Amino acid sequence: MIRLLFLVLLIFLCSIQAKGQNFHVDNDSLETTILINPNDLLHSVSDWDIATTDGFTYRLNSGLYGFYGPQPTVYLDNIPIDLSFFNWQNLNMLPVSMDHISEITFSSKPQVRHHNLARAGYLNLNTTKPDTGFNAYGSFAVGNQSEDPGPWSYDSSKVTPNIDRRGPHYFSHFSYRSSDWYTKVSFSLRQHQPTNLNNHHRLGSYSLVDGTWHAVKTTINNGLVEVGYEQDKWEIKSRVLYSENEEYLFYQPFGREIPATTGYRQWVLDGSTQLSGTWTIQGQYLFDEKKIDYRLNNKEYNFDWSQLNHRFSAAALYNNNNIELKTGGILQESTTEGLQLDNQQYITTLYGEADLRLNLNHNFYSKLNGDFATNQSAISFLTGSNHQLSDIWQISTDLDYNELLSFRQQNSTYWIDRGYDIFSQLDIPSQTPFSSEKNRSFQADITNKVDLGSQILLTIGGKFIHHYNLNIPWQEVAHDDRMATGIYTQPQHFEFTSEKGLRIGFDIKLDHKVNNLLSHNLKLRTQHTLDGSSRYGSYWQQVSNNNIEYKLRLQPVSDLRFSILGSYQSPTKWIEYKNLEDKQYRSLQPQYPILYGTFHTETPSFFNLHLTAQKDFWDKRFVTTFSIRNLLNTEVRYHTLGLDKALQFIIKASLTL
Amino acid sequence: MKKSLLFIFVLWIGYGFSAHAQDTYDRISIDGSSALPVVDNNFTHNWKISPTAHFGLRVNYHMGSIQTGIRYSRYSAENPVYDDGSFDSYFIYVGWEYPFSLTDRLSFAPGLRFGNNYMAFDNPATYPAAGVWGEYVFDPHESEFAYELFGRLEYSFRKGRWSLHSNFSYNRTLTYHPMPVSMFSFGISRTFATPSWLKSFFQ
Repeated sequence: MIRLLFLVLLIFLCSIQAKGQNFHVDNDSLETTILINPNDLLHSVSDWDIATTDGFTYRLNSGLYGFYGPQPTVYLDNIPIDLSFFNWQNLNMLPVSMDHISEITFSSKPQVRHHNLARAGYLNLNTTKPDTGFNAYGSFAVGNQSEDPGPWSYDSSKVTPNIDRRGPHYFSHFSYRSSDWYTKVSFSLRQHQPTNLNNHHRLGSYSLVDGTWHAVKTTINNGLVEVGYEQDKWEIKSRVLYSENEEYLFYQPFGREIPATTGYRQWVLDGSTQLSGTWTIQGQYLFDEKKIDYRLNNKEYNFDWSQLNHRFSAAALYNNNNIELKTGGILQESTTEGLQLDNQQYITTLYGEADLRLNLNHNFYSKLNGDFATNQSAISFLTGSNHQLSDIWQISTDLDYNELLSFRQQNSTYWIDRGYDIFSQLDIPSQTPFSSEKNRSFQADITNKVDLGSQILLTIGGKFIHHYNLNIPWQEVAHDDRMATGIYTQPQHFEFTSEKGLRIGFDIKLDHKVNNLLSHNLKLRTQHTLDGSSRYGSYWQQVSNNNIEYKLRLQPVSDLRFSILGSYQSPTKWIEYKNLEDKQYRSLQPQYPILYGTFHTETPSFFNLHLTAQKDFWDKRFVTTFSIRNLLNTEVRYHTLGLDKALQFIIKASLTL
Repeated sequence: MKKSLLFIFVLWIGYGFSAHAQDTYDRISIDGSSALPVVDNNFTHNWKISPTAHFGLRVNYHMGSIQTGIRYSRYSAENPVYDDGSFDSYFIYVGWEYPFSLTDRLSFAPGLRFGNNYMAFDNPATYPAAGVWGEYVFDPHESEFAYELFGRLEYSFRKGRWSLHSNFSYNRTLTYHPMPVSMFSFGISRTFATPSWLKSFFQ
């Protein structure tokens, strides 16, 4: 109790607001031009690394936890949406059109953001406010990946099945706005077909059920309804949202995909009122439910996992000319069920933030939050400052100590420790006990911004991370040589251990705005493991050491836009799959002729080039977009068991009335 | 030398945009044509292509003209191995061309089209043969990205409203085993001032 009171006191005394680490992307920038589907948002954040096995479901590394740790929290209009299922997430589950995104903000820092603890940073999408009166919007997008087998061929040795289709995606949106209130409704249906030889054989092996081959594809349907009321001094909104995805969830302890239906439902009530010129009160109630359910498969695998959350949150803000203070609390009741598991928990989060502006050139900020579960607590503290040292030079610094509740790791081991019996169903041997340590780390950042004149901005940054404890799930799968089964990987001893180590990273960015018609930027990023345990070193080899990104935006006339995105990634290595090195895999049984490939632990370096053209018609009511991905048709692979993203093209048309 | 060429190219693009900006969307042309394959290859040895039907729209843009259209083709299986392999093809495209005047009435326009080749097969393929356990029935519909390089020779009649054109094109559909088709077409075009409502749409 004394500890709790001490922490509360500390929160009020030492609060922080990490404004210096938040970044934003405006609506008319290059990044939003290349956005066609929500998964394209991953191109918006060049600071993050991505891993995917099917091209639709991703793991992100925002720097602190790697691919197997908690994922950055996704917000839609400042309300969190948890689409992370055992830390894989498919952003196409978001019921939002990229044409309605007015601003993207993101941060890699763990922090409390708008009534929620974003444990690995966040990505927030602000949508445009509905226009006055009634509005309707619809869009259609479809694409193909080249080199996938077509339906027929003219050589009898080349008869191939029809499996290469991306989309179609349908999205519809209606809204109505009067002077004080608005309402909006959205629905979408998005479909994909995993087609690549490297994953289609594994996914297809599940699809022959009772003598019938079922379609190997993922189907997402989702929607939302939002009603809001706004006045000068206060605003309130309520949102209902659902999303369901028939997919193949890559379950890392199993070493391959499992057919599953993931679902998310949410109801939220969010409001704020301005009490005076300096004080604001905010509150939120959020109910959400996550499910991983059965999807038809011939192995009868079934996650049968669900989680139901009630979250109450309140915050107070004080803001005058020189100081900004914020404090608040979150109470979460979480009930998780599945395969012998029945668990209920209460988690309390208390936090405070302060931003002190000494003058126009210097400000200091700090932030503290305490996260309290029944048998564990976690404290995070961040302090930093911004200094305008001259007309052209600005420097920012951050020091960050972070702890993470085991509950918030969001991987399955936490639930297996509490009775979730998925390992028995999947015959996964494991070495227990699993680590019960909480993740602990210290991070230091420094960023320099130099205005070189002529609209050229140079940014140079560096970071150092010390992981005192980093929990790493590890599964070195065995090779199953019965190729006809399409299985290939057999789980061996699963381990979940706490590891220690040091990481360091640097980045250099050049932004150049030539004129209103042409702008471009270049970013170089390098990150390395300095020291650590053997497994720590192996784990971080999944993340590339070097990345280069170049973006160019050209708008030769007002109704026509071109964008180019080029990215280089150095090789990555997935030690967990070393037993598959140089082993052959082959296409699915009904596909003829049978095609062969070879597993490699290392994914090669690649240069990926995207071209996008966008043409407006009818005063921007009708917009057409054509995008070519991987123009050079290089081997673009983000996971050793993942697809090779060959040349793709996507067409999108949208109509606003 | 390369830098000089790049500089000239940028100037040419800039000149094109500025010189033609005022004409943008002023004229629209409707094209109708039919084509036959002209270059034999492994694909055309096994599939016979009937005369195609093409309908297209062209509108002058800042430089050259942008276009959209659809071309229907019937592919009949010639090889007895593919008795069930006949299909209808619908190539839906957008494109761009830049015309060069050869004489007062004759012009030549090279260009590029890209789009989707939608294919509807008469019969779905199965593997293994029908009736065998575990039979896999393929979807009889397919679509794939296709691009087309072409050169159009156009002759305008006296008032410039009607014109005849012929076109040589190379089309490639990027299936796993690409489908290359070279065609020669002949057709007629009608050009008129863009109606104000349509001009508003383009803008």
